[in-house]
Amino acid sequence: MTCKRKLILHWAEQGHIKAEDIQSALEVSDANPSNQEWLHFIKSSCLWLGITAIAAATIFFFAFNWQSISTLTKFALLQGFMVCTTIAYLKVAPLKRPSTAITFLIAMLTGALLALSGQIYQTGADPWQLFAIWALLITPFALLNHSSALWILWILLINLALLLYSQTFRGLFGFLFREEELLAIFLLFNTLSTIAFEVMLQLKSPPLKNRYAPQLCLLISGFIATWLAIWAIFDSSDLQWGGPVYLIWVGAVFYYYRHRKFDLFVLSGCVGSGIVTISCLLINLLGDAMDGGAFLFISLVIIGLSTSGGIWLKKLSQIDNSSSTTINNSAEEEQR
Amino acid sequence: MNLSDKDLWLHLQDKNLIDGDFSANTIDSTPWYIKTMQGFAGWIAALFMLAFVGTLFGSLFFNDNEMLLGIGGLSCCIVSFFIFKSKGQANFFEQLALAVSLCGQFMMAWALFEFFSLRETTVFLLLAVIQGVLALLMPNFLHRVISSWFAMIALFWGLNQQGIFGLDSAIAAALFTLIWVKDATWYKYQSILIPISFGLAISLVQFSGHFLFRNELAEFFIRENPSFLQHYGPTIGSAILALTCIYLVFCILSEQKISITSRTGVISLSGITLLLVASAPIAGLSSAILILIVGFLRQRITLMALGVIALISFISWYYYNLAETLLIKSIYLLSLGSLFLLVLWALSYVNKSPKTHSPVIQHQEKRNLRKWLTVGCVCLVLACININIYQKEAVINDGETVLLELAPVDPRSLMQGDYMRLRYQIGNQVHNEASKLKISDGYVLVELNDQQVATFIDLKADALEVNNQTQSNQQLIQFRLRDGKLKFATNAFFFEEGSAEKYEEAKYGEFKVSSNGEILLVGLRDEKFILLGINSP
Repeated sequence: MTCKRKLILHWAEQGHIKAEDIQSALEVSDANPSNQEWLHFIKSSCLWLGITAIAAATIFFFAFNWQSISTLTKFALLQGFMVCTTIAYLKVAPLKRPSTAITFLIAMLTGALLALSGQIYQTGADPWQLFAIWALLITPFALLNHSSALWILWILLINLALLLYSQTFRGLFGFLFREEELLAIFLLFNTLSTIAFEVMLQLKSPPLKNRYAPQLCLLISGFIATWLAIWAIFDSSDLQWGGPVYLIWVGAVFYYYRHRKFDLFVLSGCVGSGIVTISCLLINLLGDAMDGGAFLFISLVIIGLSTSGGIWLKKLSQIDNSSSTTINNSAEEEQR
Repeated sequence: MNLSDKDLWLHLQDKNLIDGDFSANTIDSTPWYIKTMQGFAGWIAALFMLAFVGTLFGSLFFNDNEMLLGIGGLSCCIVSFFIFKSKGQANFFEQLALAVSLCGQFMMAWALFEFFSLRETTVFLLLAVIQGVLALLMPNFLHRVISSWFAMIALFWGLNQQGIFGLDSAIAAALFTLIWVKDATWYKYQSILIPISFGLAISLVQFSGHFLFRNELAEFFIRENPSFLQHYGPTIGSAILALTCIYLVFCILSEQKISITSRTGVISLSGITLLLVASAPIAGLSSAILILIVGFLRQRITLMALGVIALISFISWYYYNLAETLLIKSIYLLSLGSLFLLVLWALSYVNKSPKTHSPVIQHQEKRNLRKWLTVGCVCLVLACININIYQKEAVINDGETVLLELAPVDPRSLMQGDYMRLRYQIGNQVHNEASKLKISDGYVLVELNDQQVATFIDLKADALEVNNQTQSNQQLIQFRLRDGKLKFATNAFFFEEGSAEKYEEAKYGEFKVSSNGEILLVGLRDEKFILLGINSP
């Protein structure tokens, strides 16, 4: 739904509303947040700012590596803090905003604890293990507390672990993995997580409240798929499977989010990725005859594609808007 | 556009506040991601167009033809202005005009940089003015956003080159706030001002990171006699930012019809003052919060999201800021966080609403289960970590002592601040054998002499292979090969800062090894096996 204030001021700019009526129009339509909404906003901002600042403070403190505190005292401090946080968690109602924020703090403290034990014992374990274990340990928190903040943290941690893993084992006795295989692992993992999230969203009480987590996974895997496609275009001998994988991936995602579960954000991503891939394909095709005309041609093709893509997406959003409103209306009628 | 918009229109019509007919499609409600996609595509298209101009009129770019190039760029912009004007909205020509205009701007920028030298501030200020004018003139949402963003970047670089810091983001914050607070008064210029304010917000998000480096940058650019602005720029910037925040709170209070002298008014004003004082050491924080508040005030989710992104990027920048130690930053963040929670607690205390009990009880049991499961998970995490700690302490206390001879490298060259890089005699043999077997993780079987000094016997990929056959004077040691370097646990020996020369005599690294090959570095010994110091990471 469009923001009411935006609409009213737009109508005023077009001359439908007189200048002296603007304030009363804004008031009768409740376009401004009420005092209660303000209070709610201030409270939740304070909560999240406070929790984030404290989590960051804890991590900064143990990263400072203060020599005059003994190692076991450090562990006791951090674990004591974690126990206090858990007691606070028990005091608030579950699945509400404070409980989500506190769970987020517990998850961050888990990471701090892992980092601290790695720092103190210097076992020489690879850094990717830290992030992988961290992600593993916070999975139940994310599942139990329906928090998208935790799921986003989880996705970032897993991807970071994968990235560090690839850096550790790159160039080891030649190679254990080729780079494109690593990209494929990224793609596979993020696509699988997307599927898992979509399945979870179908459940009766889904362990996540909104679509941010699957969208983030799709964004990451979309980047990787496009990367693979570009690579395959410019170096087809090296990466024969890149093109087909890209086509299948984009096709499947497109089909699912167009016809099964409408998601305009994902569709825009597909269009953007398509434009990039097509322009790379054109550059490669025209590679031998790259002159001024070719540049102009590619430029016009990109403009044409992005325009038609934009128009098409806008049409889709209108269709979706009107259909969802009709559904709401019919639901309301049924209730009557 | 959709039905809810029409409902609003009809509602206003009932109250006699609106004239005319509801005309569908009167507002451009394209979501931000479609706009981003189009802007991005426009950029790429502009680059190809630039390449096209470059191949046709290559001489323009190199042979002192700044005037012609500049005029060419300017005419591109003028052409696109007329395309925007005549062709209205959402078609091929709009996107074409965007690309042509961006290409023209590249050309003008190139001409300016050729004419003046790259280091001259004039160029950046001129570019800022050009972009500012384009943002005001070009009748297109995306173009205005991009131009106002570029204008702020150019201004930022221009002022920074002059050694003036903090002013640019303060100006951006002040303009941004003013546009949104006055949006009803300046309703006639909505379509000009709103996109500009988005450009300003994006630049603020970007600067909230840069802002932190102003002290270090300032030292780099410091002049013998700093001018007034160079000297007081950061202070003036902070003052502008503070005044903007206070002004914003005044406006919010008056819009909510709350008197400044009432209890809520006093609390809000003291709250914002407290916030300003608390965030004084780090200016990026207050501009991020400013975007968040303005976003809520005008109910724009995009702005609120920008504010949140600014806050998150700000924390990661703060970690790497070198002006203070991590300890000071940690104490500061802790007090800031406690302050926020204290305010939250005070607010809940003041506004205690009567609780409705009836619906809660039904779910009580199920929810309690959820709570206790979470607590169980916390216990599990703590148990895992404490078992790990116990195991490591057990290795340190009860493990077999193994001394590895250090490779004869001048230790002084290996000293790095508060730690020392270690290499071992045994390393080359292990390295060669591991390369032959092509393994990166494995175990070395060593023989220990009377002094517990290890000599190489064999290499095993798996600890189980040999575990039963080891003799009393043999020991398994875990190793890792990473980036072509051999590691027994860690390669770094940490000591207290300033005690480096004590370790120049080091001859052996002392390890504690468990029966399954797990290994921890505990100290360094000299050639007479005297302990020089313990590892203190």
